[in-house]
Amino acid sequence: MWIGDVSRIDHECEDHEFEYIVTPQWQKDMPGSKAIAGVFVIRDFTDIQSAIEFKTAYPDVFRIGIFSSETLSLALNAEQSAVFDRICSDQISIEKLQTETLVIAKRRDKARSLRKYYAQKIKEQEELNENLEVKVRERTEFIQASHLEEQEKGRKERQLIRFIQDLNDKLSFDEVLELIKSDLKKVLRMAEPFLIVRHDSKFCQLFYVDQNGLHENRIADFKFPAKTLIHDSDLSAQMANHISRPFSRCMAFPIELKLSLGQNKKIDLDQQKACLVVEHSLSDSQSSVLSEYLVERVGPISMVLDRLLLEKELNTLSFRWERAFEDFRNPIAIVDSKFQIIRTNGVDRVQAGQFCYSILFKRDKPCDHCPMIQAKMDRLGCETEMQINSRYWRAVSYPILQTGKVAQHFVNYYSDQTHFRELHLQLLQSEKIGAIGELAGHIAHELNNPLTGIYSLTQLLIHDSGNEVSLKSDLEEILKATERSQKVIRNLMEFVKGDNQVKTLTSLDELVTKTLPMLKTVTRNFKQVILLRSSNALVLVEPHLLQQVIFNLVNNACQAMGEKGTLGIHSFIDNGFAVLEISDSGPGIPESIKDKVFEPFFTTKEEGRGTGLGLSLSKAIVERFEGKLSFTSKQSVGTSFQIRFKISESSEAQ
Amino acid sequence: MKVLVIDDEPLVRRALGKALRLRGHEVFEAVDGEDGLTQWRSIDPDLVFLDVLMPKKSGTEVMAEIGHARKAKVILMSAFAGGHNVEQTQNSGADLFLAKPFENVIEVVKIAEDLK
Repeated sequence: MWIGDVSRIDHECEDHEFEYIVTPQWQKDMPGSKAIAGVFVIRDFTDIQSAIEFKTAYPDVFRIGIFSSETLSLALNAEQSAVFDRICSDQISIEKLQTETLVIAKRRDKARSLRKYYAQKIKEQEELNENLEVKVRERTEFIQASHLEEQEKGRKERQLIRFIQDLNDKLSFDEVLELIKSDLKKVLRMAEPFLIVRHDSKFCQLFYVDQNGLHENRIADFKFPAKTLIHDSDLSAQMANHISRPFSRCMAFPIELKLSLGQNKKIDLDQQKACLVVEHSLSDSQSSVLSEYLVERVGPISMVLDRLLLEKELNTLSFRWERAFEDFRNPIAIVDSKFQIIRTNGVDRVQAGQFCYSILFKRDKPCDHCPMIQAKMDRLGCETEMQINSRYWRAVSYPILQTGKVAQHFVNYYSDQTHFRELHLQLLQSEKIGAIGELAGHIAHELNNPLTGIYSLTQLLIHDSGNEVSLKSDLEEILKATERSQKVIRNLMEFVKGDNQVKTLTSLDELVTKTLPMLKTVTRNFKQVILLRSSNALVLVEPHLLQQVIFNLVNNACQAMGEKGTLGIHSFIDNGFAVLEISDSGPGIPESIKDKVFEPFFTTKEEGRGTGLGLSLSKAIVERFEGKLSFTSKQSVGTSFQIRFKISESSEAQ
Repeated sequence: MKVLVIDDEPLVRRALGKALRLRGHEVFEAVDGEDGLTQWRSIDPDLVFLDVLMPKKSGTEVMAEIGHARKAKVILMSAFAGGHNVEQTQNSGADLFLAKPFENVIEVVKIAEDLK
């Protein structure tokens, strides 16, 4: 053993502390020099075992020296000492020892530092791992939580989507309310929805559903909340009033509507239009669930309500349009370019392929002057006048145009102008007659003057002629001729008098007598059977007009007979009525036109020969004086027209 | 008496003239209203037959222009008979209204004489 200065190097190796004690010389010379001596002490072995292990680890022996009490020593017991001695007795060369020791020391240092390093690293690694684990755990937890959240969200969304889908096929307010109610049940047990919709500036409609079905209450004075209310006792009180039962807590959601319930759209824009109120029995803390749930649904609900309102409006409009179309007095038809009807008013079911000219006018080919043909060519609306059977129509056809294409469909509108035209022609007629009357007046006067002269002069000549018989009789003939002329003029004047003359009492006989002379040219070819037996029966009529009627009937009769035949004029009294019959032996009136005979413009004469107004006008005149004009006719036998008037009074005359 | 016939129809003048002359009256003829007026003023007749409707001046106009200061009796004649012509006669100051054609021209003359 060496004794020397002590330097102590504490060294930690594993969990043992080792103390290397080296002599000062060695210490001094360490950097690169060989130590002369060295001694070290192993100190603080926790036990012998460790010392032995140590030695085993470093089999190249080392010396152990025990020093003084400064360096505290192991309190070894005898046994331990003995072991130590034995260990110590192993001898090695100092050099070797020194070198080895140095190496070992270095190695140990290195090992130590390596161990330290690795320990550090391991620690770091472990820390890292731990961190990582923590992080992973956190992440996993987070993911799990998110996943659950997503699931929850997904579920809620699906619920919302389902709700919206269900809303789509709801057709009325009560259906919507039922849906809201059943949907709410998924969230909480007791929830009652109420809809309040403004009708007009005075009233609102309150909708709700209970076991009795849908209620629609008209309420005035509803204060619409400006924004979502979670709990408002005022509102609860209001609601309780309106539904006449206690009302629990509620939430209110304003609903934006584009349309309004009432017909009158004049609602101030800032007047709230609708509101959803949900009655519930949740506490404040619980209500957020419900309010979140409902807030999402307010949008779809308002869209559905708008849709319902729009549908209602469309239905009303559609109904109105339908009604207007159907009720339209004049025919309207939507027709395709082949004259086939697509839609027409007044006819419920139009079978495919039916033609407009067939359905509307009972023809088998298109009408003459149909405006549709021109309209198609011009691609413009076209208006024409058509005469079909015995009615006049103003027809208008509008092509329904698509740019660039030939019009396939047309809207045709027909307006019956018959009456208008009739009146117009009657007016012209009466103006004509008025003009003729005036003309006749002038002519009469012009003729009267010379006639007066002729008549008077002839009278004087007769006076002068004295006894010259043949001269006298010739002059008398002249006189008679003059008289006849004057009479003709008088008759003509009577005949053309206008119809603002006064009604007078006259007999049909008298009227016939006055009229017949004017028809001499017409009647002369025919055999005439005239039996007038109603001269006592006076009727209250305007004579000149009736004369026109008689004239017309006799004229017709003669024209019907053509070259020859028998004209019959009978008048008689029948049960308080004065009757005049004018008959002919012509071909008769065919069955097919019997009901058209009195129609204005109906004529069997060639174009230009008659206006066709005669009979219709005659009928009008007769009926104006409360008479009746009728006819009977038999093919190949003849026709008989009958005028019938109630007798006003009988005269004693004749 | 002196009679003036104012009428635009020659035959009327001729017939009336002849009938009057037969009764020995002196007859003057005027062809229209203006001519009639001139002659009336110059002849100063006792009786005037005056046609209403004439060219240039009508019978009524002639009456108006002659005025009330006349000694002649006036007979108005016209083809248009009717209530209002009688009125017209009275209004214009004529003494008689005769409708044309005359039933009997000789009677007419007698009536005219009776007026005086």
